[in-house]
Amino acid sequence: MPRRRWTSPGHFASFLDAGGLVEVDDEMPDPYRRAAFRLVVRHANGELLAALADRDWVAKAPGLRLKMVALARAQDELGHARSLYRVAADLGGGTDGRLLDDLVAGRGRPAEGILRRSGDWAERVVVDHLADSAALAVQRSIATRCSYGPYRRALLAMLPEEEAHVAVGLTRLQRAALGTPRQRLAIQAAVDRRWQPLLASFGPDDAAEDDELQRWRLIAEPNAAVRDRWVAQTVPLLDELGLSTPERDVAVGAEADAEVARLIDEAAGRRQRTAWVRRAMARPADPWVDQVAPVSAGAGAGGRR
Amino acid sequence: MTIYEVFLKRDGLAEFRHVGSIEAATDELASVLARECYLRRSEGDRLWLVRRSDVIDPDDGVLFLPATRARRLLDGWDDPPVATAPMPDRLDPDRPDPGRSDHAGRSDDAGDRDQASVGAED
Repeated sequence: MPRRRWTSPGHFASFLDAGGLVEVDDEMPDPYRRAAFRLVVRHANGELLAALADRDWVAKAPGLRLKMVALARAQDELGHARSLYRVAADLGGGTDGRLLDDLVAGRGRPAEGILRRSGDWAERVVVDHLADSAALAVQRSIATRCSYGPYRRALLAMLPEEEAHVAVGLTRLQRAALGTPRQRLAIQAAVDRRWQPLLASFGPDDAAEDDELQRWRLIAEPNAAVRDRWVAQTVPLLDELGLSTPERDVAVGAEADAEVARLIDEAAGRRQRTAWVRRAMARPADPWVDQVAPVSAGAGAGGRR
Repeated sequence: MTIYEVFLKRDGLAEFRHVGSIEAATDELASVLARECYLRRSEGDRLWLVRRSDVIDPDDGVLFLPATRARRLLDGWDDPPVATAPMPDRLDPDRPDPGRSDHAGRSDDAGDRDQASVGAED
């Protein structure tokens, strides 16, 4: 039995404008339900892909402490993904399993989480901190004003853990960026390669979708606003570490938006995305985890693999 | 697959709180998944899992205090008594209960009648 229903679109809109929270058993308008579902599924997919990416580094991270960090992060992100898939499944009337099938089959929207895949350890160090702080900026923004109660509660529960990820990521970035000349060069090269994908991870500047999500009070501000604020905070931080960013002198304007859209298409393209997700999910665990065998000690500290 | 609602008691005097839900094939798997989802940092000292289908969800008639039960709020009357006579120096032995009749306006008994006349009985 629906707990609440709204007699007209105007009635629902004024309920949202007054800061009302929609709950799962309310009879919400269908467009609202679809928009909330897409938003939560996208976030859940991002958490799952981040967990898979972290899992791949459990075996390869240089040193036991860093392996433990990768493992703990993967566990956190799996937990976030699972609770978000539940929120989404309750909205969409399906099961958690069907949402995973959708992800593996490449249905639905490209997941920006694909951008977390990283080539070498230096990129991993850069992406772990910057992608997490970017995700935190987005999640904080949504958590301030999201009108869908179950999603907002899930966000508020996971924010402290995301903050911890950002903090441990910053320590690693600082150690590498202020390390040996070789480490510093590797980190700078990684920033150069990953900067545009990081900007892309905020999502495209899709005015129509932003407007819809904002109209439903599901997000507080457009993607571009969160991204620009994050850039304004992050560039000085990298500057302190002696790192430059490719976009230093160029405002994130129209041409940068086009570049971001291209990167999303390229990195989160349907074929490549589904292949990676399918491979990652089909493999039950790293052989290293199965055998608990020692990894070759060849990996150096910090910026080298 | 069954959907379980997850309740967690943080510690000490805290009450059980709903923290989310999980989907699992068996009670045992549900316990493991609840642990991995909601207790990774030992966020609680007690955990309840309740099958969603077993949750009783009464309608608004049960939840909200009807207007006829407003007296339960015990927040007094809207026209408090006003002192009209000076404080007596001593008790008059002929009037064992001087306070009652000194109330301006209606007495306690009248107030009870007003409330009862509004609507249904308990």
